Amino acid sequence: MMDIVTVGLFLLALLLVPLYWLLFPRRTFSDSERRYLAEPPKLTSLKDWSFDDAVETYLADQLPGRDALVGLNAYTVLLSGRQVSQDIWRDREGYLVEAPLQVAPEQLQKRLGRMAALGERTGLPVYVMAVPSTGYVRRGTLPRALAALYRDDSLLGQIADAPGIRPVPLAETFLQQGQSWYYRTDHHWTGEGAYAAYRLFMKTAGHQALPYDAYYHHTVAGYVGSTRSRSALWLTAPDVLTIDEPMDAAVTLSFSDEEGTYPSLFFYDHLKEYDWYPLFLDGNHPVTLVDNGSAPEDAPTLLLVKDSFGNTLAPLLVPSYRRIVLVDPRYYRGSVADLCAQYQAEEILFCYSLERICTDLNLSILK
Amino acid sequence: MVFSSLTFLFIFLPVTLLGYRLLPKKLRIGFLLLASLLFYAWGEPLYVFLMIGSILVNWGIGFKVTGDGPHRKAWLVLSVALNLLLLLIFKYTGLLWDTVKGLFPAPLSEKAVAIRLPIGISFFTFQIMSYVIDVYRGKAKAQRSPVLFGAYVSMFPQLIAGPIVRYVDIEAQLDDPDLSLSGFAQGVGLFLVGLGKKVLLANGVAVLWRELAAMPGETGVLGAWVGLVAYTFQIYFDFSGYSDMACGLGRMLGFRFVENFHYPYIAESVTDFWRRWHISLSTWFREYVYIPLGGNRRGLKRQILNLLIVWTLTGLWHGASWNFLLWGLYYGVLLILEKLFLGRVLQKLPRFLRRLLTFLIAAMGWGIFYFTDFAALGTFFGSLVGVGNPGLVTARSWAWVLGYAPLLLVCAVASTPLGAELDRRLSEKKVWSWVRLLLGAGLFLLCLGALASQSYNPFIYFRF
Repeated sequence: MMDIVTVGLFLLALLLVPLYWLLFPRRTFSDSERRYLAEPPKLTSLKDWSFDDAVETYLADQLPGRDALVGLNAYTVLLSGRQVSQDIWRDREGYLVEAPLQVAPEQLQKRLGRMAALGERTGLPVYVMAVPSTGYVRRGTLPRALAALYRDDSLLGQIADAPGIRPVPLAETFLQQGQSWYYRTDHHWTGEGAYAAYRLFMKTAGHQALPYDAYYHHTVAGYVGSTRSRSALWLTAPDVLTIDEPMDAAVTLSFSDEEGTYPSLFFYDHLKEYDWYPLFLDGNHPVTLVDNGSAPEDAPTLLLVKDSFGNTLAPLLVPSYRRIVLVDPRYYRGSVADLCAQYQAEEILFCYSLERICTDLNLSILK
Repeated sequence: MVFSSLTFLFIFLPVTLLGYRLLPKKLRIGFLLLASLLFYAWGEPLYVFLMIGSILVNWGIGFKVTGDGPHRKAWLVLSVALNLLLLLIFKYTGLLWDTVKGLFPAPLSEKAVAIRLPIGISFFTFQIMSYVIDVYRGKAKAQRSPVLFGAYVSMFPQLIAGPIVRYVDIEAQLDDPDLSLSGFAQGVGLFLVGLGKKVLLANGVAVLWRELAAMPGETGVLGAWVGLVAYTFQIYFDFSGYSDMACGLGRMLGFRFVENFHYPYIAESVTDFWRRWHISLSTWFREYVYIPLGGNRRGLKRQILNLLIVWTLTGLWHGASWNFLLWGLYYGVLLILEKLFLGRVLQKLPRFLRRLLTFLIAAMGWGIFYFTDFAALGTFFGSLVGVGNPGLVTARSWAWVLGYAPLLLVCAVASTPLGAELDRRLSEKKVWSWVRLLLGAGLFLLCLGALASQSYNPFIYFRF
């Protein structure tokens, strides 16, 4: 009896998968991975002996229940204590945080030097805002052995000591109060985190910060961010996305890679997509211009060199600047100094997550 | 094609199993031969013809060495020489060339010899030799059917990673495989256990070893040792998992292969270890090299020489690199020492210590086995005793050691017969068979999860 059940189930398992492949149309896009799945293998790959690999890659992408299986594996790894091998770690309170990147101090030093040189050449003040990593700020909730691996301390110290730039000191405030200033399912800061960073920047730059209630605060529930998709820990509850909108700013938005202008900082259409974060300033563009028609006459122009953290900081800065020029070095190939001259910028702010200053900030554009 | 691939699990295996079991008896073995050749050709579309050639030539020679035909011995020598020549050409040319080049660098330095190693050549060549030798010795009859002989050599379960099935062990089964349902069910169990060993345990600890091996000098002494233990488990669960899958698949097709691993890490001496590790290979070398050389019947000196010969060959069989030779000699010397006096000394130790000592000897052996580069080998063994590797652990290696401690513990328990013993005791209870079924299903799902995760690759770069 047991033999027939065993054999029956085994054959069923082996046959169900190929039957599924035969009967159901092939998937072309994976939402959770945000990538196109592998194409069916071409016979031309027989020529370079890659046919067997191509078949395997294709089948792996088409495996029924793939996300669930990947999730099962993610929880197996988590529950057996092997988080250290993953890119994303879950802390005791269910926050999914990025594991520390291995960053060489020289990489940071080189970039800080370039930033100082930029300030010297343009004669403008260069502010550097490095956002400490979630894991570092929330290290009290991580297993001690993992928490010990974050090197933010020494990297932030390097920035604090760097000559020729003006560091925005986020770390202390974030370590004291910032445990909830990050999303559980995403690597970004929340509205609160961005606002705290905004205040610290305004203080460093000698400007008057607006109070928190000078902004409309909108929330959208059901936000699922990057750390959840990367970790495949599907049982993590979604976040509430926070949006801070300046109350009276006559905003005009334009992009270097697109025609036309937009009257808003927020693009709610992106809520229909899997990834919501492009809601802020329509996500990534090489150069984004934000003009504030209702700014005071003497309000300055800011050049904001940023990764995606800058997209939630910029709306908070809008009321205090006549114009903000956002530059994303991953897509912009020109020179930052030229941009400063072109738009007559009066201040330069680098806003980056700490580790990605080293990995993502393209050195050549700082020449 | 490897067993732990989706191509194998969900395309090759169901088609082959159904075809094999449903076809009439006459066609069955031919179908198995075709399926096996396809299995091999999937990874070796050219070398499959080399294998087919070798099968046909040795099948022909089989008739020449049988009975009391003329020039029997000459045919045997020819066959053995041809098989060894194949190994020499395809496995050792690169090594020999590099060595010669090292000795006479001037005229040769520009030239490189690159011959790709055909998958499984060491296994099928040894199987073929066992056939010809056993027919010569009269232990087996020459196989009249080239299809049956081809199926024996190329049978996909054992083709690329063993066990090395000797012809005499399977001769009768080829004509009359055991196609019972219970045999199939046992095969399913064996296969799943093997798949779990490979995918969950071996691949799991492999991550730890890869990490620790990648930071020599920055692991601390404990980190280096834990890395070595991780590799020790990796190689065992990888290889024995593969053997279990092979035996399981064999059972599904109606064949019983010899047991290839018998809890080697509970061995109490090196001699004991080699009775439990890769048994089919040790048996082969004993039957076809050690005993023909005289074994232990010609005095101690000759026995020592024989052991050194066997272990030099065993080392080189594992790979064309001088560290494998060193690894073989390491065991050769240890086995000789055990025969001379060490065995008697060991006997006086408590059993626990004997096992621990044997495990550590095996682990250090795997260290030699792993590093094909002697400089890296030296660095690693230095790091085991703190040379160039200060401290007990570093923050990073400690996080890894701690994180993998539970899996290492699972590996340690799975290396003992505890699980099998528990299963045997519980098997009298009726409910256990259902629990076992559920466990098997769970195991399969976990393996699929691990396999699916290998290709899970979120593209999130644009989010930063």
